[in-house]
Amino acid sequence: MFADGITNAAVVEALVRSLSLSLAVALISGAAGCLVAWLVTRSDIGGGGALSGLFSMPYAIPAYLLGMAWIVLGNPAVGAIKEIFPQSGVYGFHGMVLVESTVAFAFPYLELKAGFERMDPSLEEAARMSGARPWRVFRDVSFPLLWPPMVNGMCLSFLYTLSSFGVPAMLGMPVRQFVLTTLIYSQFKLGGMSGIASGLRLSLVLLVLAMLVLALSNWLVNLQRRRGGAIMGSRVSRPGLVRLGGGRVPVTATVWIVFAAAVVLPWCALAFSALAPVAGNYSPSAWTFRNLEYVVNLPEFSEALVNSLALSISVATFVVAAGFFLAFAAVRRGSRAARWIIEAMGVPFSTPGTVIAILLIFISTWVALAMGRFGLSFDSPLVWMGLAYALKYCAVGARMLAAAYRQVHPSLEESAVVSGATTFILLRTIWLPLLSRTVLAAWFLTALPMFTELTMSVLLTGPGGATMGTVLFQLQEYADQPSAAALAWILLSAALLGAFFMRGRKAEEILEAK
Amino acid sequence: MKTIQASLLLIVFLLSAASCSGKKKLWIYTSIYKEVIETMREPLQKAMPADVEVVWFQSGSENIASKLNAELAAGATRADLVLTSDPFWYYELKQEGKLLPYKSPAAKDIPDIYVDPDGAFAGVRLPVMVIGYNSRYFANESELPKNWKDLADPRFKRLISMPNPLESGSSFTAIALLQKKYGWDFFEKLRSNDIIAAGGNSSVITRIETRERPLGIVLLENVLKAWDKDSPVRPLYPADGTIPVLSPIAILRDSRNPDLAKIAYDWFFTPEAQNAIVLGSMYSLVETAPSPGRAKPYAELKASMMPWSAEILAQMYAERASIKSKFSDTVLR
Repeated sequence: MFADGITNAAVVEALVRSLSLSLAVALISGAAGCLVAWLVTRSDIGGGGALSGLFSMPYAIPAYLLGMAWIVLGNPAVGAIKEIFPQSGVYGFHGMVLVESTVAFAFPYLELKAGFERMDPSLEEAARMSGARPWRVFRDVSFPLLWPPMVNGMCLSFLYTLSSFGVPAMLGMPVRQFVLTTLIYSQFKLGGMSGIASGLRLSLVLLVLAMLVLALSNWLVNLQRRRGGAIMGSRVSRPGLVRLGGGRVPVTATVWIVFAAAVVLPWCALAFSALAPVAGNYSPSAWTFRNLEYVVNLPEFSEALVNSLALSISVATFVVAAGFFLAFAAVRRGSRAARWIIEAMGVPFSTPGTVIAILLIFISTWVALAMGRFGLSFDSPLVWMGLAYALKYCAVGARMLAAAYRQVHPSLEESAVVSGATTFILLRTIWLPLLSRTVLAAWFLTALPMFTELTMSVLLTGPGGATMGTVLFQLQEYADQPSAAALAWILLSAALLGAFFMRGRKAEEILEAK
Repeated sequence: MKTIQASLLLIVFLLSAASCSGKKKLWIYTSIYKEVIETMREPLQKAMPADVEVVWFQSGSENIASKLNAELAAGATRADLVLTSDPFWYYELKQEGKLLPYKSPAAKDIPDIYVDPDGAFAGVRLPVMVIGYNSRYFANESELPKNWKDLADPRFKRLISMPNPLESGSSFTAIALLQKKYGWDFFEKLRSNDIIAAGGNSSVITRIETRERPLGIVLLENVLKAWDKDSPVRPLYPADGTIPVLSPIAILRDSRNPDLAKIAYDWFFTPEAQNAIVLGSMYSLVETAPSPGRAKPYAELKASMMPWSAEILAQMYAERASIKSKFSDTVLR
């Protein structure tokens, strides 16, 4: 038997479920991401400017809280929309696909949106003026140019889902549907050396799968490059919007309804939970601000806010900046070392957070022991948490930027080099403005999960190391669901407000203002 | 942009440097409630010599076990004292020689069954597992189960949840004692009742409150805390025995300040500390201490407590892996 105490059939079943879940999520988020990115950048859809920012919002909700919101919505006893779910409510494969797709959607969506915005619209306009219909323009002009970010966005969604634990634990385990990560977890928890050994064997399976997916995505990206280059402009003329004509109203309505279902509905569920005096009692007459007050007045709330902001901003900036240079070296300078580093970053991204945290506890103990020999002491949970975040999420920025570099034709760079530009000037004056949208998207995709990171934080934290994640865990485990929902609701509302104020601002302006 | 980055990193390092003060530190890893820690913080600090700083690390029992196990495996832990609620973990630490035996005179009033015969650990509080129910769902009390055995009755199909015993030490104690009493047949019936065994005690409370699963096997303290917030969750003390979850205190063998650790260890058995524990809705093992508000008085409860002893602990520990995997096969899959 491959794993202790479980049949091979059960392992295969979990493996198949992991793969089909990740594949379903990658396909759904890829297709939806592509469609929405096209609609908000290239069509005259109603409210496109607002939608463009709003659609990245689901990513701001930690997946386990989104799961919690859907559990409330689909609760067989009191759920608001229990009718649309089968008897098991939101539990099961369909629930996992729903929640994971909502979150993972941001990877392909933001990459493709940046891709569309970077792409010279005159290419598409030329095709359109030659009489091609929108679908033909997309298929023959836009799609080939967007191939690298598309493949990479779907690859990131796939790996994100493959390594996710919270949602499968919350929505799969209660109805006994295991995926690899939850199986690994229960193997570890069985205790004893044999449990740990078989958990590790299963982790290796996960790792091999992740490597295969990374290799596959590289192959897919290269497949396209052989077919032809990609010419890109920067800050070119405003794209002429495709008129949706008679379809405008229904398309606009559909997209807004999808947004409402994916974001507004869970937001309301969280709000109702946050306002409820007790979980399950959602009647408006009983609403109270007690939970919100309780959360804001928690002694560690302000500490957590400061720590999480400082950690996510500094670590995400560092990681994305490093990714910017590394991807440049890998794609533009053909550095083998840089390419390998970027590939290696895929490993921690697809490793469950618990495993990373345990490894870092080992390392931090060794460091403390070594420093103790010299009479030094170093008790800083924040440094280790920062390191954990950097390890876990460094792949996002580097891979997105590598895909973006690949998307751009080297002619601009070559002419700059011919004119005598140094590498620094090249990066500063050509690549940073050209890739500003991807840089910003990558920063967003890296900083947000760090801000609410829970799995690794609860193991690495210590005195003075409270973060949003540890506070959420605290509320969930020691207080009650309404207080946890209150914090989640505050976080989500802040993210929505942020998106509202940022709407219509160009990535270049934001980066240059800095 | 670079300067912002550099200054933020600098802030992070300054924050870390600030936490290294000159005082001797006594580290306590615990799973007790933050509110309880806040009421204990000052009195314990006062009970310690002036040049000692007590540092609390609080998290869930299982997180503390993972963290401390990893630290021990890597060579050393900062923890001097541990107070969590998984007796089996303490037994394991003792078997591995990681605990410092200490027969504290302060713990002399603790009943022998809750104290390790070799002095490696002693019960400092006693959470108990009961049945929680939603009093709005079960308006008629006669519909309620009377004891654990009733939960196997088909009329409770799709109504019960419990914490995952692979995740929670209290839940493991419950299944270990229940399978000893009723055998695996009982769990097969729970499985056909489609019991949900997932998450921790708090998720059981949420399932009871939202009526997703209006009955649950759960810690009494979680029920009492919810009740204090006007939740409809109420406790039901099963006639066939409330389940005691021994929650010990122990000193790590590698403690850098064993003498200081002993002072703190003793302090946890003082009326001051025990009262703080009772305020946190847990039973004190010191007979003179009051019982938590709204809970059944300890003297009454004691008579119907499931049997517990050092031998039972040792036996359950020996069977731990097989109990977990049997449960896994019977209920989780």
